[in-house]
Amino acid sequence: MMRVKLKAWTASFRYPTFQSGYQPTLPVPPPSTIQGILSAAKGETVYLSELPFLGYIFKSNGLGVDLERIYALGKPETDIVKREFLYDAELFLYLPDEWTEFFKKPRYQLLLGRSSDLATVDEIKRIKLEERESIICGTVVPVSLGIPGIVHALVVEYDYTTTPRRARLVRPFIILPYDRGRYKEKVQIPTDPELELGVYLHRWSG
Amino acid sequence: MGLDGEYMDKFNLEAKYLINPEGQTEDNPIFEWTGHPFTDAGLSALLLLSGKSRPEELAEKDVEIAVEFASKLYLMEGWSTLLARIYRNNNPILMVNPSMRKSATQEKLKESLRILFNLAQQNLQEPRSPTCQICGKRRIVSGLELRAAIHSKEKDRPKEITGDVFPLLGTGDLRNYFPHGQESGADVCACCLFLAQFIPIGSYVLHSERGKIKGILVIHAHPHELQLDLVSEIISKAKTSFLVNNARGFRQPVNFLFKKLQELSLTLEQLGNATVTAYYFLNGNRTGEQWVEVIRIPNPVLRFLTHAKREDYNGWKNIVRMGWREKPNNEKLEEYEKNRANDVYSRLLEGRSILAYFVDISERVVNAKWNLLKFYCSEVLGLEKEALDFIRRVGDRIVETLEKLEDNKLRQRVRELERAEKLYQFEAFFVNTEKLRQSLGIPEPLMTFDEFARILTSYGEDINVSWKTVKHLLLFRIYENLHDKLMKGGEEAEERGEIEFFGIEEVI
Ligand SMILES: [Zn+2]
Repeated sequence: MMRVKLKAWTASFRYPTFQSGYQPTLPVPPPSTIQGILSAAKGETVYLSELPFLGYIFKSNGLGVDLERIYALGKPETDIVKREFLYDAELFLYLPDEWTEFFKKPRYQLLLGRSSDLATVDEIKRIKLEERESIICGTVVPVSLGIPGIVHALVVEYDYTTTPRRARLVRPFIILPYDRGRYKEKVQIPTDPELELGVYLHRWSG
Repeated sequence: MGLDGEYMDKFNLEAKYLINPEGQTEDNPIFEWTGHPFTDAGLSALLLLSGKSRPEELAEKDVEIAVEFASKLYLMEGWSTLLARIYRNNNPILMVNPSMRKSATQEKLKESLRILFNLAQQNLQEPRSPTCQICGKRRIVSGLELRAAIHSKEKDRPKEITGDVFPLLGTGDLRNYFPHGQESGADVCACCLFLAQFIPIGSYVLHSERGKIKGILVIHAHPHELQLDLVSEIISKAKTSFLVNNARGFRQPVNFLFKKLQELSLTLEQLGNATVTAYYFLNGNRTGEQWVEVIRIPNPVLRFLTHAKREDYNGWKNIVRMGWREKPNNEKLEEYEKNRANDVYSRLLEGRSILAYFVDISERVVNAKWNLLKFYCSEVLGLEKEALDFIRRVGDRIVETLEKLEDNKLRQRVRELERAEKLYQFEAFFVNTEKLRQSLGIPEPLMTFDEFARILTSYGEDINVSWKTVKHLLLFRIYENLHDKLMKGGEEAEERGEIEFFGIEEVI
């Protein structure tokens, strides 16, 4: 297994149906954002449901609110929206080995949200997860895991064969913000020994 | 298995699963918890209106009754203003717009809702269409389909699925946030849209002092029993008096949430894996009227509240009082509770420490019992039990030393600790206390060198757990044991006055 570490000054992950004047950010990216990142790295649409496994951990160092002027599509008017963004972001992706080449030379720019949330590849390394009791946070897990967090329906992957893109797989998740001081519950889970955190490996295939 | 078969299998899309008069099949009910706060709020309303607790139990007649009720309710005074804040002015299903209102009747509303519900059922039968981004199960409904279903004039009917029919989806005018600026709006199915029409019956409404709607509070909780528990009050109000639930006159959503949470009669075990998130929003017609605030109650905070209520309710109430800039007396408490933001609450929500509020430095008194402090430290701050016991032992030795002093000297020493804002001042307090022990001839030292080092360096990487944490724990122990001695004589009153400890920026 390999781990890719991405870094970005800012990141923002919109709640799927909050599209109004104020846009809060989810504390961690939804799976569909990971789909976007993997697709950009590889240069073609990637479907998470076709990967044998995928894990991710997202950290950030704070939250801010940006004021944006928006040019309304197809109209001369502009509008102002407030958008929350996360500051000083790091995303760790746990992927099969063959992903090394795509992240060594990503085909398109990698984004943690919008085009202004540009990310760089900070490190690619092989990693061996260790099975043990660990805290799990900074990610999303299935509701069935029963860990307390924020419950929310999220798109796992979009179908990009149609225009506009459409949701292909949607699931309710528990969103666990990165906040290790807050979590006490430990679960038996593959663990990244460097981060001292559990990595939930999603398997949407089959 | 061919592609169709696979698809059918994946989503259990078989005709036999359609809702029937007796009820839904358990395998694939038409209504399910989606994990979306708004559709889940609508579902809560449906369930509570029919006195059921699981979506699978909902039968067609329950839907019928709910439709009947909602269509009557929404035409009543007070509700139309609310509808315009939840759906903007142009919800044609519920005929919100004043021009539609004129011709609105219960029959018309009922029929729109019914047709929408029929659409929701039919949607199961067409597996090839795009999927709803909320439930991920059903095909999406188009604005055109909606047009055929509703009673308003042609010009008022929607062309797309926007904030007019589902809160916060944005306006049709600003399509930037729909993928590819989609003309048809958001990808939502008829079932999720149907549930969304019941949000007003599943929400608390907060008003301003002048009686204007300030915001709508949707509480989203897991497990589902907890969800129903937290909103049941809304439904009973609507059922008995046909009134909007005004959150008991609270103007502060966070205070109201804490009030509700304190009333829960759950055990710590039941709360172990519980989740509560609230969405406070407005979806009005003007720019600036569309916003949402996500209020997340961390699980350790939930458990702390439950524990506090059971074990030391008075202590907890004292702590909360410290969270207002001026501490309210009993008469003012309710007014403060309803109208003024509280620092203890916001700290708990933001993961900042409330340790300083366990003591009242101006009165040199503890606000709660040691056991509540202990629970808070270990469950919320994440302080190790051993560390806590160790600090407690040190505190007891300090008490043992200081109580031998005459009152004046005692107060002076404690003041030294209270005023320690820099690490060297904190160190000096220990060195002085150690000297004191020697001069008083107490055989045991206050602590070993290793223990001294341990107390001065932080416990773990968390900023909450530093020497300032230790300082507050020690003060707690001292006030707990020496309060009477410390408060004897008035000669210090003015001296104390010069220390402004209340509402201090850096509490820990
Ligand atoms: Zn749906």
